[in-house]
Amino acid sequence: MTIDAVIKKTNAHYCLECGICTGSCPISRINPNYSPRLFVEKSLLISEDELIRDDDLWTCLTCGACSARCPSLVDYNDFMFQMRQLAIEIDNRGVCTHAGTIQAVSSLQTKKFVKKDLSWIPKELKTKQKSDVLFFVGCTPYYQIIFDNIKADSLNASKSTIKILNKFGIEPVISQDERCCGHDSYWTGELEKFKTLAKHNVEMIKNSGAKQVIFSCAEGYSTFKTVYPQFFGKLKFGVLHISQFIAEKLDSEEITLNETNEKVTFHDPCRLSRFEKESEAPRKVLSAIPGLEILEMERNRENGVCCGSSTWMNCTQVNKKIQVDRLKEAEKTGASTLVTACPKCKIHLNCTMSDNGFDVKIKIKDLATLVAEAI
Amino acid sequence: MPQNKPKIIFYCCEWNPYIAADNAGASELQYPASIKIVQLNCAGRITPGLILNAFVNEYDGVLVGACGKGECHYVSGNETAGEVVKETQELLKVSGINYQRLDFELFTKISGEYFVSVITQFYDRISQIGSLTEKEAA
Repeated sequence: MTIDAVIKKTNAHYCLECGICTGSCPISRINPNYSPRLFVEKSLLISEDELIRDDDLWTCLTCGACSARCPSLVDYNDFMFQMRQLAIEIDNRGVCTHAGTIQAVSSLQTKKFVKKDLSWIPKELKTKQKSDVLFFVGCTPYYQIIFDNIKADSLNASKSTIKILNKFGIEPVISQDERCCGHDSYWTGELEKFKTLAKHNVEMIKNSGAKQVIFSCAEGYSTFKTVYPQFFGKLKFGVLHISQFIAEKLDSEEITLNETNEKVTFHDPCRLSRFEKESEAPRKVLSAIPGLEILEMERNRENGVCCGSSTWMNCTQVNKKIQVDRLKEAEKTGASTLVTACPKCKIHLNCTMSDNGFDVKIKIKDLATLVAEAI
Repeated sequence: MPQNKPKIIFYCCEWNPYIAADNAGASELQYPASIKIVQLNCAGRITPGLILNAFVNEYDGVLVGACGKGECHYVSGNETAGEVVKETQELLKVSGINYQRLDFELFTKISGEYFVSVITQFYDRISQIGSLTEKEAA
């Protein structure tokens, strides 16, 4: 796609220069040199060549806070996505965090010889070879190893999800042929890699015969729900985030959960709240736990702020500051636990928590873990 | 049946392991030709990404060579490399790839014979495990 086509497709030429985007951007709040408004303006004024060499391309978190508020409906996220595709053609790439390990892990999964090891599933949890429901585990087994040093314990959410499904009488399929959902490849403009991964996953689910796919990860869910249909048409299976699954079950089934006196606050993952407009299901699930008190942060639901980093790119002190601010905001509510529904939010916030001398005392838990504990 | 030679990458520190490799060359010692040597300033530079990308490019085995215990020129690069290799072996296990395709060797000696014996042993092991693309796909 040429730059003119991108401008047309994303409504960039409707920009009123009102600056709401920059006012909403979590990066601009801390680094005034970065401005989504200015970037859109630049696209209209400077040459394509200059624009796609700009490093600011990789600073954007694609959190969608700007697009959600834009009065001219400029799709800034899509704009960034298209620009990044052009940028990688001339080898302008972002700086990979964690020395490119996670990008390599997803590249590895494009290969046919990869067969996932499922020995992490505890024996007491039940899974089946054939079932109507498939649980898409995602990258958590890898994160468990890579982020062991910050005690992110990513796999816990996956185990808890199976436990919850079992509780509702469902024994899910967990496939060895599952691949990375391709979320990060997509948002960094690596479309070929994304297509290879996505094709493999669609094929895998088709072969499994599952009619419903459950995610414990907001990014995986959003990628399947919104991005996959752009490439493969309407999917032949339904996708649900675990919070939506539980919320649905709460309506139709009588279920008793253990009482707790915990005070929690919910951090909305951007892929769930802004991309998929789902901020009520997690809250419904939380309020179903007797005794649990939900204390909202100032910035919540579709106004929730990003966890500070995305697609494992360009993590700087600016991103760290976003995380510090968010954790302080959570502490201010008086909650003892910050609950989220995305393994990456959990990793990023945990990373800041484990910094030397950081004095906010709050636990970070995945929604699935919290529910599984109440079962 | 024609047997493909295993493709191997040897990531090595420019000190002990590379000097050993250099000595092997100077002494005109023979070792399997399908091994590619990639020189690093210190084995501590190795990352899981570098190792995994070798497997993405369908190499059958990766060996990381560091200086012996207490001999690292940059204090603890060899220990870091050991940890990275261990972590990457775990990542390989999750992906269903035989973790023995990746190994770590501390080079306490710099003789060419030592290099040849290490590299040949690893080559034999990878030959036995077989090709990555054929074996693990089954």
